[in-house]
Amino acid sequence: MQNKTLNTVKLGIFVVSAILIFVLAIYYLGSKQHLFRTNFVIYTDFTTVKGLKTGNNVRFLGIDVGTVSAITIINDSLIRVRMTIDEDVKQFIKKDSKVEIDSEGLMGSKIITIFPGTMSARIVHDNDTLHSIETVNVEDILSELERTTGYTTRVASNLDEITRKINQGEGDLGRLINDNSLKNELDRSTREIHLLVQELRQVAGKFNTTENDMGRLLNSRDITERFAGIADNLDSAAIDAHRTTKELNKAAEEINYGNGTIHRLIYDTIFIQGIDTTLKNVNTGIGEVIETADAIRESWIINLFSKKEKNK
Amino acid sequence: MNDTSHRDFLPNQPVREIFNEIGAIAAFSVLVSKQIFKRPAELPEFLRQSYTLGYKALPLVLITGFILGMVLTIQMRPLLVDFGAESELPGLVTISIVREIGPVIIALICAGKIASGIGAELGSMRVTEQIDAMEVSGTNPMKFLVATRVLSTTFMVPLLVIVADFISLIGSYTAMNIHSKISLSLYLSLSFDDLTFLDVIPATIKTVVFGFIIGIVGSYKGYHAERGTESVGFAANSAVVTASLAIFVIDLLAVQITDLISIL
Repeated sequence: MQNKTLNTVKLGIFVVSAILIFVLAIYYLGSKQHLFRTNFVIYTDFTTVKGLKTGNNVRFLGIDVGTVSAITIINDSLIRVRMTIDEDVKQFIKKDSKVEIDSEGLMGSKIITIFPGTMSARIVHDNDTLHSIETVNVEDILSELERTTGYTTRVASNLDEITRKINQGEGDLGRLINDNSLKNELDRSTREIHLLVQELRQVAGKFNTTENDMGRLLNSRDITERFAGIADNLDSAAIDAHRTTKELNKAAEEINYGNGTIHRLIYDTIFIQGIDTTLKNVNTGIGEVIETADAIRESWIINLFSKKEKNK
Repeated sequence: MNDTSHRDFLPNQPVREIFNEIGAIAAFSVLVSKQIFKRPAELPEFLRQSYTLGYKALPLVLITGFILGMVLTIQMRPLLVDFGAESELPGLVTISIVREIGPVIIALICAGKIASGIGAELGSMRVTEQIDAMEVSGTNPMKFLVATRVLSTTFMVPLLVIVADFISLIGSYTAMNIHSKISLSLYLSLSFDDLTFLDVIPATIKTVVFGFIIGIVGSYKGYHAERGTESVGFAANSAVVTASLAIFVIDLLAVQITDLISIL
């Protein structure tokens, strides 16, 4: 009977131990998923969650502070992620904090990272929605790398083609490097340039003498002095012209504003009328003189003397 | 011509025997289940069987679990070190043990120890006509012998698996410390990092089914043992084989269902 009781006690210890291990495991698992702590809920929206799953960790400042508790498709381009966060870290998460989906290592599972907001921003509340940041994931990097590799391959291929052509003497550069005839042409060109330079030097030597017109032009002082004399004459002529112009201006001012005859002739209408009247009177006088002369010529006394003259 | 093609579609003898066996075990399970819930409860016998079938299997399970954790860690470590992911080793080993290896290996050990024990015990009682005597004396052998054993395996196997899983983690921790130093708290933290309720709960439910199947198959084989001494050995052997096969089939179904749940 005693042995039977002992067996039952042993069985009891075994059963209690096993159940205790199970309960502790469940509790530890639950605490890892923040099930047995006071939590609050925040949301964020993504266009893609990149394989994020319910239960993935939420990380703030490198610490696991919560888990993804739900992922809901809102529409074809918007996915809402519900995060259950430990109440203790609520005071550190601001309303302008940003949320991003990251990977734990290159092949690891996805996590959500909350970036701290600004100091002046208010603390996040339950059921708030944080802004998300769309990040470049490994697939994008690999895709970009693949594209870059493609470009590099093409560039390498082009370089290979260019060097091949150069080695085969194709194109100007290839001929320049590989063709000896081009070298001869270059030598000839160089000789011609050398000769040209020599000729130019001779011409320049002629310019240095006063034996020819160009040399004299460049080297003789006589021409320069003559030019200087011409310039002096031109200066004095200009001074005379200036003086004449001033006198003309003065005369013009006298005409315009003075009391001379020309001014009155131009601007004084009464004077003009007087002249007109005088001229008319002169004309009338001349007409009368002519008439008088004609009358004298027609008079018999004059004719008498005129006939005697004719008869003679 | 028609007769030949008709005969081709008929199951041959071994296939027919398999289906016959499955049907008989299912019917036996229904009968036992009814007896389990029938009053009065055979509590002393249940406790005795739990001690015999469960507690006495504990040393074997503990040793197996410890070795399992150690071996798994030592085998996986070089591969993960090559990938520079040694820190993932505790999580990987824990998931492997909790989800699959722990329940299945321990269930197979229980099938070997418990199912064969029940088969042999009930088989010898059948051969020696003790079961017949019980029926004559008015004791319900299905309730007293079978239901208590099935109930105790149903309870004990999950507990053995839980303890074995825990010991496996200890073994894994020991193996981890052979090559690198890691604290127990960090090891447990890394172990439980990737573990979810979806790993633990279905695996635990699975072990309950394994326990029930081990009890049922062992009891069925022993209870229906034929006359003759050799049939006792046959019953024990057959119980182990059938229970092991049943464990694998149920495991396959359980994995499919768990996978389906995780997708949903």
